[in-house]
Amino acid sequence: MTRIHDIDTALTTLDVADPDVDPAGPRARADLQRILATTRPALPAPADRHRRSAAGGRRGPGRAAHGARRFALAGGVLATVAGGIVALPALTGGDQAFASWTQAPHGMTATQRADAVDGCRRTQEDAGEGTYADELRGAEVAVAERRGVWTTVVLAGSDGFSALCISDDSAHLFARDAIGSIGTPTGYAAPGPRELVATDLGTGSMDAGDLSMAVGSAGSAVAGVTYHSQIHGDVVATVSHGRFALWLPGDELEDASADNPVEVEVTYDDGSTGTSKLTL
Amino acid sequence: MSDPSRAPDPEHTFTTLYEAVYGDLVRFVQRRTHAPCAEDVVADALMVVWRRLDEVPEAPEDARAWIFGITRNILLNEQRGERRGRALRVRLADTATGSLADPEAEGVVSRVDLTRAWLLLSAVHQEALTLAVFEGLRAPQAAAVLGISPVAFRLRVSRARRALRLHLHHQPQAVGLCADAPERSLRS
Repeated sequence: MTRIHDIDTALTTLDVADPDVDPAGPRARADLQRILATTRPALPAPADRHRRSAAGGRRGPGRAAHGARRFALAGGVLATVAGGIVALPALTGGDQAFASWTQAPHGMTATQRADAVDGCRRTQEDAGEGTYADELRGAEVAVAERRGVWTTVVLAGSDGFSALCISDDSAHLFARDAIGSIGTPTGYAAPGPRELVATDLGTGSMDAGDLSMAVGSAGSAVAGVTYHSQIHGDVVATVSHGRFALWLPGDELEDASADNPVEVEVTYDDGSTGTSKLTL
Repeated sequence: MSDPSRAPDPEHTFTTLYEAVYGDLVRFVQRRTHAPCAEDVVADALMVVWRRLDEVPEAPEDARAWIFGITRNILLNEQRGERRGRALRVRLADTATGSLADPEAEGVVSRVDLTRAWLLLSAVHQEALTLAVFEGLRAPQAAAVLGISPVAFRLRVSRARRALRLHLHHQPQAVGLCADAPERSLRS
């Protein structure tokens, strides 16, 4: 009994699934009508988003509760820079379970980029009760990428200062699922030409689920960074303006530490490759 | 140039898709969870599809795989608090109470042995085999569900089949044999 076909045939006889599911049955029809009755999300026009920002949002009890829960879930693992985690909850809509996430980043339109950067600055401006306001104003955009509907922005300043935002851009502004960090690493030393220095490494938790991330500074000779995920395959980082950023759904990097470094493949600008071990 | 007046109606597009995948999606969930109502999970998944309708792949087989991927993520997301591995175990029928008299199956393998061998497979291997055998996905689509490359999926299925065959060939032959072969004992 070693033939593939035989095994497959035998397996199918043990299927637990109901062969007679009726897509026109009462339950299926009711769910369909309920789904169709909901409004599909559309990105608001930039002007509209600014207006709502100026209005200061609409904080309700539900949002406050969500925010508190998510701060606790992050548990300090994510924020490795000397700053605070900033997390905004999703009230409705959004990309649950990171369904649209992609292994490699893809491009953004100029408008999307501007919106993402603007949103990140506004998200971070109150972090630490405005402690980082000056650095934030002077920070330049190092990374702005999309993975599905998710945008990642890294704003970079001097001495390793960075502000990181990962957010679901599919939900409207004040319903976005977002997470990030801000600050300057203690004892920061700029990487050598072929080195990487992680500033964010580990896992965080959002309404959509856990995510793992590796973000930091990249030396001048670093052209590419790839993490070989056991679950998701090759996850390609954005490398830009001396920074790198990658993230993936799940808690795969939860145990990252000095004793358990995260190995990534690095491509250098001369075409050679090597490995780098990220630690904090 | 396209005629905007002929742009597909989202509700019609979604309804057609919904009716096409609903049954497969319920079965997909039933194989992976003991949840009393797979329809609840399916409804959540299809709500995501409705929101992301613009991103649904054009080819039906790709769309089906894309929706399976969303559903799988939702199931994983529900289990994350239990700190399980990032793969989903797949259930087979309980042979202790099910019929053992299926002549076609009995002709090639004992269903009890096959169930035992299946339980010895890792969740990763169970998922790979299930996508190929039960969901009937080709490598590119199955790989998309798991978020890995088609090459990696083919390798994974090959290893899963080999592992299943090994487990079948090393079934305990009589009560007591497991005592000196603890690695063969069934996982709960």
